[in-house]
Amino acid sequence: MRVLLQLWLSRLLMMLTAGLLVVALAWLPAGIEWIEDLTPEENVPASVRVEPMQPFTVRADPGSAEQVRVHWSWRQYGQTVTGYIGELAAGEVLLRTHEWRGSDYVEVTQPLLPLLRERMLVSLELLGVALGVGAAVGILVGALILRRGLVQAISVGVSVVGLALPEFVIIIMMHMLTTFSYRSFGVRLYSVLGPAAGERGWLPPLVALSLGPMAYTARLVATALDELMHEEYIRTARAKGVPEVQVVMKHALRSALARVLGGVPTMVNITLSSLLVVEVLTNIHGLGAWLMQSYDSAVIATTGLVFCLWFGLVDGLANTLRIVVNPRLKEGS
Amino acid sequence: MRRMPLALWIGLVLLAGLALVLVWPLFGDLPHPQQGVLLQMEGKRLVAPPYRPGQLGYPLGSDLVGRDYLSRLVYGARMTLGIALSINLIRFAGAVPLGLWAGWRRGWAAAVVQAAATGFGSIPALVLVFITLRGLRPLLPGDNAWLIGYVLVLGLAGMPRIAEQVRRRTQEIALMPHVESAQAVGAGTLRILRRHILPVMRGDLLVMVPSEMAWVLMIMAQLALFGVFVGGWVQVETITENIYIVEYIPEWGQMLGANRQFLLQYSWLAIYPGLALGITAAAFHLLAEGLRVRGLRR
Repeated sequence: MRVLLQLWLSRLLMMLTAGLLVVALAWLPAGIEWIEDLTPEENVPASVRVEPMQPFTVRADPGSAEQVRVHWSWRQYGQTVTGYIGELAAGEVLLRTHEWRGSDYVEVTQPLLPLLRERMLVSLELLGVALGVGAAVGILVGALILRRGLVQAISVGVSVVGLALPEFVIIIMMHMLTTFSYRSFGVRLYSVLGPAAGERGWLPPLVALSLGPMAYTARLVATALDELMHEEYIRTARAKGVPEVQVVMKHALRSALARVLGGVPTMVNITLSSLLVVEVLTNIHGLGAWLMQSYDSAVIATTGLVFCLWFGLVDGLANTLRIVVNPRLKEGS
Repeated sequence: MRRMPLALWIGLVLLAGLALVLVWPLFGDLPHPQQGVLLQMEGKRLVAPPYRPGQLGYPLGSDLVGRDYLSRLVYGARMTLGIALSINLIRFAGAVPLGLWAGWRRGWAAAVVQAAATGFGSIPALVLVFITLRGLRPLLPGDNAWLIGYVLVLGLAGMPRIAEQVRRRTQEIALMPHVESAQAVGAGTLRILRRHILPVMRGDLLVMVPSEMAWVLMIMAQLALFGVFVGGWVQVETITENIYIVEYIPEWGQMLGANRQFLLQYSWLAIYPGLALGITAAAFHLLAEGLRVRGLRR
């Protein structure tokens, strides 16, 4: 019990530190009082004037770079950050946007937290399904490493490719594939517009997001099984005549899963990073896309905090499970 | 002889290809990466850029102002890998001595490194780097200041994690008999770290370097997709007062980020630099994975 308490206290401290760091960084632009433009009026930065049909070479003039001086105020920065923390503590963070009303350009404020909740659900759904599918397929692919020949080669190949290929390349390739299929055969495999275009739009984001966790889990399971299959208790089980499938499923895989739990925080960290890219490229209006496409510091700070919270919770849960399944860790040794 | 892992083979082949790309400008006849043309005759037709792949002798097409895309990609390899290497250099130059020292000293030094790694690790890497660079952008005017800031932020963001890995390994190696023997004969801390611990760690570092290189390239590509990249813009103005604003430095991240908006119209503008970044990252990943598997087999 003491070990668990210590674990959650440390995670709480970690989330708090990470949260403060995110808030401090997200509000950096708020400290700028004004920007002084020192560029001479006639200076157009890195410009070239060309004639059509004539080849030209673009060369930037080092002296023509934009020259500005930023005036920074710690007081202004501090006030804005403390103001935001106060709003957050009261649950009244406001989203300030500007819009035209008739001939006036006015500031419009609306509560940020309900909007955040709406987008959070979309992201959580995608993240949960991707992590679940990825981990389940990963365990299967990792276990196939014990087979010899083609099956083993496929298992290693899938896990290596899944780890090596970035998610944006997978999405670009999937977009190219469905475009090619539609142009050549008139078959639309899935929509490139994302979930907005219906159920078939979920395929590219799910594949791109679950491939990483799948490959990572497969690698962890494969490495663990590789070592565990030489253990004494496996040899004993085999000597007693237990069928090989049961040896793997009941004895080896159970121990391997404890190790997989140790890799969960890294897996979640990688998947959360990928979530941002996937949401933007596949047109999903989730939390990640909001964070990356917003210019508002309140949105960036608040969504950044949610990401820290998610990570802290998953990390804490994974470590709790590890402690629960491993009696030696429970004793704090 | 032991069989080399397949991942190592593929990684080495891909990196050999990359090495060829890096030296291509020394031996091959490539157009200048900044040379463009805004109108050309194709038969009896006047055509304007971007020229499609294969059109008018552009193997991979051209950009919006008629600059040869193959040439820009080839020259871009130097710039991109140069930046990624600089970031890695900062990471390892800071993290290895710090991790060695913390692992050897234990106590509060080890706790600080561990806490820094956990703290930085508790924010998704892309979120941390994106928020930092977005916040710093207005404070770093000028292309050079921005380049330095970009490299430093990416370098520092990965440092605690590497330092923690080195610390853990140092603590394991410090318990080995040869280190105890060195201590017994009165060897100093610096000598033990340099002569007795670092050489044992060489295999781990050999895996970590390409692996980090892959992560750095991936994060550079991810940042580029959100408009965070190095290199400035250039304004090309025709005598008919048409103005094109295009990316200046041939760098894969910038080429991908600046042209992402044309993915459906002129797909090659974003696909080629995206693939170049992705395949290079994959090559380093495969190299690291192959080296790791080879180390395990040994």
